[in-house]
Amino acid sequence: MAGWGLWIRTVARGRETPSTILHDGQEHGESTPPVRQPVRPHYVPRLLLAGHQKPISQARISPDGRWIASSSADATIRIWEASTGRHMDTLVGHIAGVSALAWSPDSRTLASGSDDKAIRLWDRVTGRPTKSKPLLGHHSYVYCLAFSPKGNILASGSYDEAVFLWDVRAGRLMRSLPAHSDPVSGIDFCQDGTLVVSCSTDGLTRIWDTSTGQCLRTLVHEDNPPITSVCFAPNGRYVLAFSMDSCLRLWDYVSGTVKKTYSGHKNEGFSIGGCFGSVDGEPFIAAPSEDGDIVLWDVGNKEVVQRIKGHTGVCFWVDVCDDIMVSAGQDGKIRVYKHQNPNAPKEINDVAVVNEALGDLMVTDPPLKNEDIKKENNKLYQAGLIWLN
Amino acid sequence: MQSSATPPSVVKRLPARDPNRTTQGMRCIHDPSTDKTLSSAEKKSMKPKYKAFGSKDDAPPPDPRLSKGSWLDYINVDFHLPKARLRQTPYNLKPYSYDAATSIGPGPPTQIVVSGFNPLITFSRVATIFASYGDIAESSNKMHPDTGSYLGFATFRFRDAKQPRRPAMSAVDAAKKAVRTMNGRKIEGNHVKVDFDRDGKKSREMLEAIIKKDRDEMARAMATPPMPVGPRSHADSIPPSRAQSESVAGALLPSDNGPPLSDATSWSLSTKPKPFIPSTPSITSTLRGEPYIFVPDSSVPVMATTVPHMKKRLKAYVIDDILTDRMGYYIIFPNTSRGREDACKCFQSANGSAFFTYSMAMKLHNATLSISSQSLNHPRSGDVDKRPVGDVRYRDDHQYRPREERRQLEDSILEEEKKQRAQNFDPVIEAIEVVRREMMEHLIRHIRTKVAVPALSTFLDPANHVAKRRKLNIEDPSGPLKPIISIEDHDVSPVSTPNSRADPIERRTARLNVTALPRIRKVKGHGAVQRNYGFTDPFARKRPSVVRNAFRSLHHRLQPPDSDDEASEGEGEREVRDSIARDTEEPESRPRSRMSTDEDGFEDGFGDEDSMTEASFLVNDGAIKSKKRKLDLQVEAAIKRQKKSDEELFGVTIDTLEHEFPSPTEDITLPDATQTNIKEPEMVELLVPIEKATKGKKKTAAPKSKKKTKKQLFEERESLKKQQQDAYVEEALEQAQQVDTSRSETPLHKLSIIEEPEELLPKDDRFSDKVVAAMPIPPNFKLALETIPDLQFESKDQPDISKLKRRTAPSEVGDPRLWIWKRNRIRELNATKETTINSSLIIDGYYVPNPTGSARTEGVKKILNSEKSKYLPHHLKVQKAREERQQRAAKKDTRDAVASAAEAAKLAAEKLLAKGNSRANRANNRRFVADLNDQKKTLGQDSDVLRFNQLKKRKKPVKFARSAIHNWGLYAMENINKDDMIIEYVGEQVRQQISEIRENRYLKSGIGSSYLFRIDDNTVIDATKKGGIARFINHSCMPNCTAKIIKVEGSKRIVIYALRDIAQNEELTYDYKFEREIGSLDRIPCLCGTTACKGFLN
Repeated sequence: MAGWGLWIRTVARGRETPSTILHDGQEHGESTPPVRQPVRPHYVPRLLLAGHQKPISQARISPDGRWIASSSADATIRIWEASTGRHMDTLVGHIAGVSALAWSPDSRTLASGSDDKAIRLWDRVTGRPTKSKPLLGHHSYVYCLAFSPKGNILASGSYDEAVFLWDVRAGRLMRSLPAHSDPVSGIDFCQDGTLVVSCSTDGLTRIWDTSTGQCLRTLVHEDNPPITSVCFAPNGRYVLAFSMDSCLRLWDYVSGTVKKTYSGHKNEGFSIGGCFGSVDGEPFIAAPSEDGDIVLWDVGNKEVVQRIKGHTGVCFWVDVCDDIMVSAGQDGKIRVYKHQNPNAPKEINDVAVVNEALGDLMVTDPPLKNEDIKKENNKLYQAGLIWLN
Repeated sequence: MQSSATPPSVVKRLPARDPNRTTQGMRCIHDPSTDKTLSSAEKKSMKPKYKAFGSKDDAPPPDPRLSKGSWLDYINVDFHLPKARLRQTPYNLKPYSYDAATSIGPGPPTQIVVSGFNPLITFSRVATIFASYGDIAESSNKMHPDTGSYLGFATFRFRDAKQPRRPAMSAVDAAKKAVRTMNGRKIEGNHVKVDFDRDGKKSREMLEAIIKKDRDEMARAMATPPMPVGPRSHADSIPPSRAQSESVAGALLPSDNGPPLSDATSWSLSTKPKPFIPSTPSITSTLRGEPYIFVPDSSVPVMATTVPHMKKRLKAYVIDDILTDRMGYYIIFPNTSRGREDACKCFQSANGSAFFTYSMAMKLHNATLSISSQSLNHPRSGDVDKRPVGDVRYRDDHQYRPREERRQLEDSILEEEKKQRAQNFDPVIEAIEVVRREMMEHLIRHIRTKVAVPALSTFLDPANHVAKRRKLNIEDPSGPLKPIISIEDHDVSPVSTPNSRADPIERRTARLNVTALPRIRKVKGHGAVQRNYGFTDPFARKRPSVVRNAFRSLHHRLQPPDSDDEASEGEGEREVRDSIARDTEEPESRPRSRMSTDEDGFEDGFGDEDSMTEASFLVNDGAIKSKKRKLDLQVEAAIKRQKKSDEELFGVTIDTLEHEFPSPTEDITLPDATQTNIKEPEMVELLVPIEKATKGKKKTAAPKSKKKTKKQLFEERESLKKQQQDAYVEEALEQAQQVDTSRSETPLHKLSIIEEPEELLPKDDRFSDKVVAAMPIPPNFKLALETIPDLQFESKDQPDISKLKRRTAPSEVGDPRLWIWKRNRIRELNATKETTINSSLIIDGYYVPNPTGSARTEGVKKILNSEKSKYLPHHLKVQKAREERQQRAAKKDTRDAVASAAEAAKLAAEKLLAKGNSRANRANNRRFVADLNDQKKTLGQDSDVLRFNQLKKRKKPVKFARSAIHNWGLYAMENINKDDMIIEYVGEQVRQQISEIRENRYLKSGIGSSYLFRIDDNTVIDATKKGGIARFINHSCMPNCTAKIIKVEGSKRIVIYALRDIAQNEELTYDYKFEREIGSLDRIPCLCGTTACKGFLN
């Protein structure tokens, strides 16, 4: 057990499923026309990764699905193994808290942007920066990062209202786009790497051409709410914007119109970000909420298909990769969820034992005694991984 | 099939068949057996019909496509290139141009031969004519070999032009051009022929033709006048001899016919000046008893120049001398039995042998030969017949072409020598010879210079004889000391500058006695004297300079040669020069293994090292003489001794032939008293220089292991000396070492903890004697955080937490070791050169730490513009510019800042020009508008298509970009003149009420900027959502534009005009003229950054 590093047995509060979840394969009573089934994600909390001392700003799953990286306000980045939750590495090197994180498409390099205006590229295997010098150039905190699908360009958005495009190999700035008039809060590449979308708290969502740096589109909503995050849809035709009026808007950027609006979560003060996911081939949207929940919507009918509680405090980021979902919270913990096919004969009640090859999660109904927790904590303290009060 | 019209031009073709030939054969034109139309009966009966072929030219007609301009030309094969035409076959291929890499053969010629010009004109004129075609690499105006007169033809060789000013002209092209243009043209009235002359063959042929012509003429001229005194018995044999005129086979002439022949030759020779003056009328009288060999003049013509060659030829034999007579050569051997033997040997071997173009017919005198008589007789009888063979010819040649003959002689001599060498060629022997020679030279020279001369000079040094002088009451010589040849002149005091390579020279020249400098006289026969202006001897060749071996007497070296004899002077100089050269070359000629160390020594380049290297040793040798101070001598001696001791310490002894002469002082066989005397002060001085320059000494101490090139003299002397000196030197060295080590230790201490003073050191002011506390903490002692991990903490080292809590405010750090590790890691990754161990890492620029740790966890807040100005780059730029302006204004102080700024802006603007607003453009625009209006009239309605905003034509090119004032601004793309219309403010035209509603709505939705522009009381232009780019023009308290409302085509328009001249890339601004809301809380700050800024928009 010690070898599994950092996971703490936790109590599953039972996943609360919205009434529409049909995890047992039951159909609704109504006669449904032979349209596509609504997506039924069924994410079950699996791991709780602790280690950061301060709130975690972002948690990302590597593109190959094996690693989880989390960046925190304590100026460190931790890498965990996704399947077991084992803590692999702590990347130390930033002088101030880290706000942004991005995996390169080959899952070997991790880019981190911090309040010290520097972007560092880390090698996942060795845990050391690939270059001794970070990418400097921003005039204020680096807020968001994204790698291009080819891994050669890194886009960074910062508090200084500009979007920088970096040449990763050379380690120098390629282009700086005078993107916004307020901090750039979100950035994303489209799947072929030709378009960059950036959003800002000035309410604008702008789409840029990567090669020329021209602004191709500006998407503004009527009320101009600050946009806290943005991402491209997997088919590259839509852009999902998380705005601070507690709404998610799906824009068709070619026409410049909003196609769908999703709500059900809370986003009023913090910059939160989510992503697209897919289950059984059906896409869904996952977004964190400031009340600590994670909300999943069906893309088509805009319905909330799952709501997962877990975090105390604000949940800042949700990332989905295949059947693993990870969420980063203000409480400094990372929660890992795994999607389970509802048709599986496992029944999850308040008290459940999940038998899996690795990563058995002992769920006990009465919570662990304080002494036991203390013992666990002591062990971890000796290992130098957590700190005691 | 056949073309109806004959093709315009039919190519004349050869008939396919020979028209003269008759019928080739028969061909069957009808075979009834295969004819289906016939009946079987007919088939059987009929016979096949034959026809003859071959008589007519029945070849197929010519292909009309082949003829040029055929009507079939229209056939296009290439549909994409309509101009393509069928090509003529066969192609006319351009020959490949010459490519040095791939072409076979020598390549196109670059040399041309020009013939036919008047030989009497100056050649330079011809040369300039041809220089115009390209760069001439060489030109050669051919001369007659005998007379030296120009023959009127020349060769020019071109080279590839490399001048930058002209396009490159290759040699080949230049030659081609020259031939093309100049062939047949006239040069100074004469037609010239210009032709390619690869390798100069043609010119050579021409030359040879001329020579041949001349010779024939001469021969004919010679043949007619008969020989006045010919050989009595051989007059009839003369004609046949002429048939063999060209043969240069040996003519062996006996001696008895020699005299009369020589008389004849001399008689015929009398017409020409004699080539030389015979030394004695008859030598035979002088020779008595000495064996000699006589080679008559007839066999080898008597010339002074051949004597040395002959000597060389016969150098294997010890010859006394070769005397010449007009009769012939007398090769005299010493009058000893050996000499006689030699003479016989020589006679036997060389008799009749080839001597260049001649063969020596020898006669042995005064030496008995076993087969002498026979050998004598044989050739004689044989010779008689052969005599006329070459005789007449030689005489002729000799008489009429001395120069050519001489040249041939020279050539033949060389050939001979080559042959000889080839015969005797054994590389080992040659090498041995060379080495032996060189070693002898070196040895002798060294003995001379290093042994004899210094000994003599030091012996003669008046300083050494002071005692004697005192005794004899002779006054000291007042003149300068006899110049001493110093062997090692180097930097004496180690305090001198490291660049002592220059220094010794300076020193030397400074103290130099001018009279002691060698006199460098011009060697006659070399250099400028050699050049004969006006006449160049084309056949003259530089004689190789005579290399003298060291077989000269000493006086030549000690004193400059003062004989006025040209030859000896020249030789002396040469020898001196050679010796100088040789001496200075010596370092290189030394074995390289030694030299490598010297080169290392060069690299260090410090005083002592340099001075002790070989080059500085030897530059002085023999050539440059300098005075030496006594001190120098002594110190030098000391240093040398040290070197020697070094050598001995490390057992480096070099056994070579080369000797080194140690310091002059050591070899003086003076009584020991003086020696020790000298030594003592030397030791003191040795110490002093050691102490003074520790650095230098360090260097010498360090490369102790390096082997300096040393030459040892006779071992017994050395060892003696060493024994004497060892004690001193060891001591000195030890001291030096100690001084060094102790000196080097002190700088290593970082902390100012002073260790115990050394006991071994002599009393030195640099160290303090007083005892200081062992571990005083200096006042600026700081805890080195980086050392904490290395400290071994024990339990008792744990601090008392309660006490600490009271003292200092605790902060949450966690595990200290981890904290330190993290800190170190961060530092190592982020440290620049400036960060020291204890300084905190700083983040460049403006930085406000976020309370929650990171920006994202902070949450989204509105950032004030004022806050933004602190870190946004374009804001900072404007600020800086403003500050600079203020500074400048403050400096000036005389005028109002605003006014000065305005003036400055005006001045700047005045310099600029504006284009694009010419009269022509305006006229064009007016015409366009009038045209449009006409069209409108014809169409009869105000259609959308023709609706045209006239004002658009007057728009200036402007662009929008990020602005320091606010977000986006409008910039001028070209210079704009004053009072020019720039752009129209276009937007939605709304009523006043609507605009109010909109304004509120925009404010609510967060659009901070206002794009509502009032035209008049009732209408407002709203460019918030729909408008022209004029909406991007920002406000400024000192604008460069202004807005005017004009009426165009009946409607009011807002138009922006330029208040002053605007430069390119300058931001356009105008005064928004908002109402001043003084008391309002929400005043919009003005970021225009100008000096007259009011601070707020409203």
